[in-house]
Amino acid sequence: MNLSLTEEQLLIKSSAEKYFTENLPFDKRSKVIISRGEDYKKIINSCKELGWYALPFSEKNGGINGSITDVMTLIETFGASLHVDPFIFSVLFPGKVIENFCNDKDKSYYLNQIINENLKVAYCFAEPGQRYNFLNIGSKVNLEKNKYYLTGKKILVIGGSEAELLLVTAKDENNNIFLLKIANNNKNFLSQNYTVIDDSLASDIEFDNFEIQEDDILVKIKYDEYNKKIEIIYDYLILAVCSEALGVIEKMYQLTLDYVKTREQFGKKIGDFQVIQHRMVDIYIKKEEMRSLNYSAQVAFYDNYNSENRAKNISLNKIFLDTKAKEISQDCIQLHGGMGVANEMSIGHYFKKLIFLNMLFGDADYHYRRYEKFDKA
Amino acid sequence: MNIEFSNEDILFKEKVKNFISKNLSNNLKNKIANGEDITKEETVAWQRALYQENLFAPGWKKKFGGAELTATKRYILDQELALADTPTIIPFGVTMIGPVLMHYGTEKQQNFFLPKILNSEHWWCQGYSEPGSGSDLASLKTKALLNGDKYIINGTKTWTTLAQYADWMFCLVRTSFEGKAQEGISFIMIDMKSKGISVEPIITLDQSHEINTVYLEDVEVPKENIIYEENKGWTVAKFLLAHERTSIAAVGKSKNAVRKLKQIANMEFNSEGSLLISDRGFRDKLTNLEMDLKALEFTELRVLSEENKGMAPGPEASLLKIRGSEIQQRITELTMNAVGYYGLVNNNRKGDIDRKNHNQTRPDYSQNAAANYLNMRKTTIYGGSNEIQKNILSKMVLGL
Repeated sequence: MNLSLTEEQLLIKSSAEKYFTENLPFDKRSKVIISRGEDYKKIINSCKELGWYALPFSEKNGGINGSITDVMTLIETFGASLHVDPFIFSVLFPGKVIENFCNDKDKSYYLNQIINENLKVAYCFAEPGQRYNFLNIGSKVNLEKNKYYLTGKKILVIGGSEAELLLVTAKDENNNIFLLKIANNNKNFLSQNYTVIDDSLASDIEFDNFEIQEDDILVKIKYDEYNKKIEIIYDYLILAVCSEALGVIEKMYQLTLDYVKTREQFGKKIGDFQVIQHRMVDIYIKKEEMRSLNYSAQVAFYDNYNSENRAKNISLNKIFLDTKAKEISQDCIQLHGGMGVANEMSIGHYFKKLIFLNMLFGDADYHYRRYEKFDKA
Repeated sequence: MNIEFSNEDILFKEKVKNFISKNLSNNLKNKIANGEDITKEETVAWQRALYQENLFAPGWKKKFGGAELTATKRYILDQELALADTPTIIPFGVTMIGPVLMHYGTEKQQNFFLPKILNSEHWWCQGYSEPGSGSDLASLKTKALLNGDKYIINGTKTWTTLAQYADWMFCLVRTSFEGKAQEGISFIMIDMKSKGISVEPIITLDQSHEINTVYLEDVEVPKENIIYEENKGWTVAKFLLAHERTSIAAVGKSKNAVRKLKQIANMEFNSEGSLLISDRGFRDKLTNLEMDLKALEFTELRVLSEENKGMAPGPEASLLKIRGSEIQQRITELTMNAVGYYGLVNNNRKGDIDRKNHNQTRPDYSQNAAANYLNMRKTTIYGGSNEIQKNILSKMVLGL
């Protein structure tokens, strides 16, 4: 048994941390993000050059075959540094779907484009009324006179306004699931761009009898088969979200600990008050539990044969994120007092990042039900 | 024991309802219902309409131009205004400095200021917190030195709500460095147009401009603007804080927010396709929230019932502040859960981004869910943080 990071993983962690300290310090961050200009492009390019995009993919598809732990260790540093790249949505999500569902030719072409070239992809996963249930796809593909048409609504398409290519899931009347690629510069659908509370860019997109070319159908697969293969990808993505959140929580804990050690009221450091000490200890205990659950889910991933155990572990992580990690984030704001609600402080930006991560792929209620579904006891 | 309303109370309730339907435009109501910012002018116009109907200062004595309503009627008024999505009455004048002036002010101060509070000619702000003095308010350092018949004031006030609109600020300043910290504080009123005052915005997490830092540099304030006596400002501040604490419970507002949350839960679906309102997990959280809100409401009614008998609110009012603020936060949190992915939009309350666009894709009720969740973090911090309220309860009520 060994639950510590290897030399190599420690190196991934320290080099990423060093990169962010030098290139994305908090005082520079809002400028980089608001402009999304040269500095922003430079950072996205560096991520690619540092091999981060290649880490989650196999060698034969242009990747470097990193382990789950390698990838999660990296993503944790994204959370800790409030990284601005929609990595999970423009690399990990489309990449993993392509890797698992596409034919060899498409696989090798698109993964290479995403990992090594400049193809920007956005994955359209969320739909109104679906409430986190990714198997419930409402967008429809219709076949009329040998032509395919797409009708449906996708929301919260992260990176949607920056992407060249949209990957869209839809269903036909025979219960086939489609993965469609659609050029984002096409004018025949409605798209609304907006900023998300963590400063990501997103779009809501509406297709109304949008004509699909035969070539644009990347995948056509029976619902049951899709169902079987997609669950592990969602689990992987949820783990990525929880790992990013772990980075956020570690940082919130550290910032708050520093604050209570320096802020003075009533003639002493507020950290000298027992009520504050106990509250910090509670935060500390919870964030250690969060890491333990994260490792537990990673271990479950290495055991390929027990998908129920994996799914249950993942849901526990997500429940923790939406309950106890959320409490930590609220406590950290409270302990900062007025400074906690001032947008110029970094603590509030971690708070907002956590809200975003909290909600992705299901809140606690959703995962309570999912855990129940997989628990055979 | 009963909470039945008398015929007079029922008539009063009708009067309030009629007033609201006559004076609140649909446009303004919608803005407030969706959590959008409203302008200073809209707030002032609303306050003036209330004043015309003698509903603006329900707690003030008649001799000062108030309505001197019973606690029951004040409760009815508060509930009806909140449930109808009317503009928030800015408390700094009518519920804060007003009662202070009536209790401690000189006749001259009362005659000058009270009418201008009533007709909303003066917008007030509160100069309490300082960068180094938050929970430990008594450590404040803004200095007022007497020079002839004027004080010369230097210092910095922060988290000053809506100071950008204010004509006057009531302010705690240090007039003595002798003895206990509390004993050298004075309560003074400062004209915001005075030379040497500058107001700098603080942008909050929801990206709105509600609070400010106020810099005072050699600001001259007439000696007569002091309230009560020099170095007795702490007594005045405590009197005011007790008033703030009761109004801070926001029962009416929370009831309205729960009502809206239920509407949302009747339109949204859970992951299995049932209405969210019948989702087991969601419903239990909602019921817990309603339980705590009901308890808060009756705790407030118990305080009001005592007040009807002439008892002033005591330190136990702190419990209203603690629970009231927590409940306000929990409602916005559960609303975020209810609206799901729609809630993640960064909307900063500037009207919704969709309505201007002809193709509306996002429901109105989701527009400011995140902004409200972020904004409400302040409630457990301001007005004496909840930690400070617990200190008050433990010391003043429990005797620990």
